[in-house]
Amino acid sequence: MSDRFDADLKKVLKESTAKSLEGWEFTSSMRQTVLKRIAEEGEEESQPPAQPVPLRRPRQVAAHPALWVAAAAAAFVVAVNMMNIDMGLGGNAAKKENAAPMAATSQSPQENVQESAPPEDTAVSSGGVAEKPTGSKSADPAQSQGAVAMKATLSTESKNEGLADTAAVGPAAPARIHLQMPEVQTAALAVQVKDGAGIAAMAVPVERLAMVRVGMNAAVRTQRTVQFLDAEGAMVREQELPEGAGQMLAWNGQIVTTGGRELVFFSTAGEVQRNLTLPATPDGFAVSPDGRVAALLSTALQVYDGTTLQFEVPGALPLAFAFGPDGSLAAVVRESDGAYLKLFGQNGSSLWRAKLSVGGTGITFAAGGDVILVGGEAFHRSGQPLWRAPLPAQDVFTLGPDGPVVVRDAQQTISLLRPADGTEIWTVQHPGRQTIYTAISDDAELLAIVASVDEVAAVWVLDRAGGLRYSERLTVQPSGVAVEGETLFLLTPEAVETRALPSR
Amino acid sequence: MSHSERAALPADRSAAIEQLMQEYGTKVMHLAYYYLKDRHLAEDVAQEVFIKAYRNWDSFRGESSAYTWLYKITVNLCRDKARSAWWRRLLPSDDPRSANDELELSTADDGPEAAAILQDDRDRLMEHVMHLPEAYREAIVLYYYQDLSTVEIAEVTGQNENTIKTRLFRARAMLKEMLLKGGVAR
Repeated sequence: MSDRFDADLKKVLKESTAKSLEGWEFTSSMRQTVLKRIAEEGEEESQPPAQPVPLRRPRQVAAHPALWVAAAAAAFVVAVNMMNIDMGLGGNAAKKENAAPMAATSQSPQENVQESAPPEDTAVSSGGVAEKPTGSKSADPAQSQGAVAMKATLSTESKNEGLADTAAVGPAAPARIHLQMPEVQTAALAVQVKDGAGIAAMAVPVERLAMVRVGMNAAVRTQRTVQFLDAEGAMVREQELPEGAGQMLAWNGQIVTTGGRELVFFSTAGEVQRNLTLPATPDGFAVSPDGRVAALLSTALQVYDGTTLQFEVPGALPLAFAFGPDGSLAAVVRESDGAYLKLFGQNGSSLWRAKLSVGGTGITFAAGGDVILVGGEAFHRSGQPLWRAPLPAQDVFTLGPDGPVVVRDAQQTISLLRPADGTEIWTVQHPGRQTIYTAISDDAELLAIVASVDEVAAVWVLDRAGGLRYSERLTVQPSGVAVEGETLFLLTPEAVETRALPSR
Repeated sequence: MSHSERAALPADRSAAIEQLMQEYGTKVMHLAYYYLKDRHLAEDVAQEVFIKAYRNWDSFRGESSAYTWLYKITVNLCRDKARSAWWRRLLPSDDPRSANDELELSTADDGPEAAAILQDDRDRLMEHVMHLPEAYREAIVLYYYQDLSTVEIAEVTGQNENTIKTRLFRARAMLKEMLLKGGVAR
C-alpha cells in the first residue's frame, strides 16, 4: 500500500466518521444510567434482589397463613431440587455430602461464585439448601411432596388474575441459581460424536452457522446450504440456497430460512414446501401462526400473505418485531423522541403505540397473546402498561404459548418471570460471563444456556423449576445449541455432538 | 493506561468509571456501532462496557492503557452479541464472506489512482467500511479511527500482531478495490 493511500484513508475515514456520527455522543444521561446501575449493584450486596416495578397495583392474594407456609415449602422444593445438583461453591463440604449424583460434569467445581443477597424469607444458599435467617434445614422428601401440593394451592389462588397465570411452575419466592463453571470437560465424557457427514468438511466460519430442532430432527445452516439431520445427527439431505447466510427458525413443524432474496419453507426431511421471493435480501423475518411472513428489508417491514404483499409497516424501520398468536404484529420503532412499541392488526391497521422507557430490544408475545413483552416492559394487548423490569431485556421469549417468559437482561442475568405481573420464578446468575446462546426444547420444559468467560465456555441445561439437569465445560465454543427430550445438541465446527441428559 | 495514568484516576471506583465514561464513552459507543451497525444497540453495549469495567475494576492493573482495556471489553461484548442467535435476528446481515475466505485481490501498488478516487468518493467510504467482513472492519476501525497500533489491536482482539497486519493489508486492498470498482470487492 502506498503511504499516500494510507494517509488519505486515515484522513477520510476520520472525516467520514465525524460526519456520519456527528452529534451522536455518550450523553450525560447515559452516564447517569450506568452510575445508577453501578449503585444498584452495590446495594444488591446487602439488600434483597430487585423486583420488577409494577406500574399498577397487582392484585393482592390474601395473606392466609397457609400460603406463607406454602411459599416457604415451595421454595424448599426448589432447594431440594437444587441439592441434586452441584452448582455450588467449591469447598462446601455439606453441599457435596447432600448433592445427589448428577451429570458427570458436576464434580468439584473449581470456581467460586459470589452469593447474591437472599430474598427476605427464604434463600437458596451456595450449597443449594434453603435457608431461613435462623438456620438451615436438611432435605426431606416427605416435606417436598407436601410442598408440591401447597404449590398447587398457590397456583389455584392466583388463577383469578385475569391473565394466563404461570405460578404453577415455580415457588412464590424466586430462587437464585448460581451457575458454576463445570470442571469436567468434553474429553472426560462419553461424547457421542455423530457422523455428521458433510458437516465435518464445512469450511465456513463458525459464526455463520445455526441449528434448529424440529421434533426429533434438526437443521444446520451453513453459508449456502441447509443440512437436515435425523434423530441420530446424521445428515439425510442438503439443500443449496442462494448466497448469504440468513436467519433460520422452526415454524409449525417446518424449517424456515433465507438465502439471498429467497425465503424457503422446508419439511424436516429437507423438501421445499413453499418459497417466497422478496424484493431484496431481508435483515430478518418472522412467520405468523397462519403462515404470513414479515420481512425486514432495507426500506420497510413488509408483510406477505402467501406471495402477495399484504401491507408495509409505516415509519422508521423496526428494531424488533414479532407476530402474536392472533396474527397481530408488534414492532419496536425508534422515533425522534424515543422508542415506541406499536401494534398492528392482521390487516396492517395501526392499533396503538406506547412509548418505551426501559430500553432493550427483545420482543415476544406471552400469556396466550394477552401480554407483549419488549425490552423489559410488559403491556397488555390493549396497550395498557403492566409492569417493567429494572433493567432492559436484551432477549425475551416464552416457555410455551401460555408459559412463563425467559428474560436476559443487560447484566447477563437470565430470569423466568410470570408474564402477568413480572414476578420472578427463578433467576440464573453467572457473574462476569457472557451468554452466547440459549435454546428451549420444543415442549418448553428445558432451557439450555451457553456462556463464556474469557476463552472458556460451558453449557448448562435447566428445567422449568430451575433444576440443573446438566452442565459441562466445553473445549470449543459451540456455534449452536439445541435441547430436546433427553438429548443436548451442540454444533461445533467439526460435527454435531450430542449429550445424553441424565434422568430426571 | 500506565501506572501513572491509573494513579491519576480517582481512587473511588465509581468516580474512576465516571471519568472514563467522560473520556472514552463516545469512542466506545462508536466502536460498538461499527460492530453492531445499529445505534440503539451500540448505546446499550457502551453502557454495558462501563458496567463491566466497574465489575472488573480490580482486575485492571494498569498494565495496558485504559482505552485498550475498554476497547477489549467492547470488542468481546460485541462479538458475543453478534454470535447470539437472537441478536443475529436483529442485526443487519453481514457480508457473507469471512476473514478466512480466499481473496482475489490486486497486489499492484495503489499508486495515485486509488488515492484520488478515495478523495472523490469519500462519502461512500463509510459504506464500504461497513460492508467489510467483521475481522477486516475491526482492524480498519481500530487502526484508522481509534488510532491503535497493530500491537494494541492484537491485544484488544486477542490475535497476534502478524494476523492484524495481514488483516489490515487485506482490508486496505478490499477497500481500494471497492473504491476502484464502486462496489463490494469480490
